[in-house]
Amino acid sequence: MDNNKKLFEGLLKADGINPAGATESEHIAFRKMLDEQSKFKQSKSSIARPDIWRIIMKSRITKFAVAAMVIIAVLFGVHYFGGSIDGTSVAWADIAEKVQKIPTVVYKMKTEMAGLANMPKDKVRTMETVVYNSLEFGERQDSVIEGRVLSQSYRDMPNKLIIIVQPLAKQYMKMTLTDQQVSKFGQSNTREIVKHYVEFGYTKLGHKNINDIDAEGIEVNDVRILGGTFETLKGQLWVDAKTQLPVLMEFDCTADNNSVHTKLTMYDFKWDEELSKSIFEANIPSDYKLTVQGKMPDMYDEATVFTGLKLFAQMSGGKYPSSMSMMTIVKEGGQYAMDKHAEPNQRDMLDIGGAAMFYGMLVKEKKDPAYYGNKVTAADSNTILMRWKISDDQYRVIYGDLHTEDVNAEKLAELEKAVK
Amino acid sequence: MVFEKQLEKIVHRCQDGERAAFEELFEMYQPRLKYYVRRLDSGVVNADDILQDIWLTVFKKIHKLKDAQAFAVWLYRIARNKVYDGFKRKERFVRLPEEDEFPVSGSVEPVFDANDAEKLHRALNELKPYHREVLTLSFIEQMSYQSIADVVGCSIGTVRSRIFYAKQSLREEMERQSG
Repeated sequence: MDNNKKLFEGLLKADGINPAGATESEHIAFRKMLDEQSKFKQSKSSIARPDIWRIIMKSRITKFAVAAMVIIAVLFGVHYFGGSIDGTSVAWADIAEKVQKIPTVVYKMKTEMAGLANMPKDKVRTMETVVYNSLEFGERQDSVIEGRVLSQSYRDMPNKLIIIVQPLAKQYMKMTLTDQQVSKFGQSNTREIVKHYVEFGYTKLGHKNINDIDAEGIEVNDVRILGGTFETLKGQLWVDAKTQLPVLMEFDCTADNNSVHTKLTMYDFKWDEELSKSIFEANIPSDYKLTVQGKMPDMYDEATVFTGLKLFAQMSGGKYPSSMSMMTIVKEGGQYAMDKHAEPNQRDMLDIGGAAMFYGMLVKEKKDPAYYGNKVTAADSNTILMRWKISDDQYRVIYGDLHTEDVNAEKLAELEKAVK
Repeated sequence: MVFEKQLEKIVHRCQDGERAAFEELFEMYQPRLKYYVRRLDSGVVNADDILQDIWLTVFKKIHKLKDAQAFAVWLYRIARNKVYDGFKRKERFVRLPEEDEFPVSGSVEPVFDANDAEKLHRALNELKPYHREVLTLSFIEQMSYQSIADVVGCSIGTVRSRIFYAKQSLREEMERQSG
């Protein structure tokens, strides 16, 4: 390679830019712009192209909905999906084990959401995400909405950091992780999700052709596969029959009593792709404002659930989330936040979402949790709001006023009889 | 030469409205354009927004480009105007001062080794903006003095002079950073 070309490449790399070409998220944004322009030309209008992003962000509802989408992506990105595989056929367990060992994967994820932050059920917001994952360096997710890069989220495991850069708002969040969070997250949620397809009991779907690939599929209907993020869920996993590697994952989910509907499509998987370290290093322009810092809500710390529930009750005038699914909490919390604040407060939304993460951990770790937020308020000081098992014969109970007590099974039965 | 021929064909296909050609052009130029925009503005303006506006203008106006071989100059002029429009809106536009003409004929310009790219990048960021700009165009596009003059909108003599002083400053800055 001549000196000029090497210099060109070296300079771009030093600035965190891949000299070989545009990033996937930039391509998505560019294609969106081309789509809009093509439609615009077809309509033969002579008016200058309106900036769709600026128009939609004038809507307060959209602003809160978009803020909620960022928070959900953040919480989802650090959710604990870990667990062991048991009770399954060897062939599918082998697939799950195989993907655990592949050092890198790149894939695209399409998220279609309706019903967030008072948005009508038929108004769907679509977010396109490119996910880069490396067992060595961590994970990066670039999300594009309405043709603009909404967020770049970095799960920097070596430095125990979560960084979320939001270019449109020119701001970023930087949160620290504990050792336990780092070890439990593992290096890839995607790989854990594949494992869960196998773990939670599936039905075989047979074969279908996906982009000229003979794929074999399974289906699950267990909400635990996504760590209790939703209240109902149908998921399908399709693997290449030849390579035995996933080619497509789809989820159709609802929350908040069917008022939130989400479709997740993970596709275009590239396994064992060469990924340089610089992809995983956040490049934050000097004028971006740090809006959220401190600790990431810790799902292993009991204080997380109290912080989340207390904040929620303060915003709602004493009510609690109707369920502990993450989508429900963020949606309902977002609605109360809209009543109180002009702008979304992402720290509060994260902390509220943390309560769902704690509950999801209890489910995953088989701690026999139960929650009665749809019947109990902060005024119900002696009524059980939530419980989980802390030993063979003891349960920890949180009451409506958020005080706690450890009780035996007999006392628990009495408390639950009163609330049911 | 191969690159120029290939680029010319892509530009013609874009002028015919071929979508795939726009994607090829984007793939080719987005990384270097991003580097240039960041050097002009040092991250003060949202580079992603500006880049999107640049490509929107390319898409809308490419049919007016008469000479496909002049694409790079045309593209960087658009980029420069977009960045400076942003400056004007923020009322921090300062007209760039002109350097003296190239002073001594035969003076030897410093040469930079590609192995020092990281150091060079850091030092580049410390230069005066008008020095940084001409060197960036020279390093990432290997543009001729005439082409740089067309992008920047000044005489070829000014470009020659600016690059000479810019390279000297860059060498000094690299030495200073090395201690």
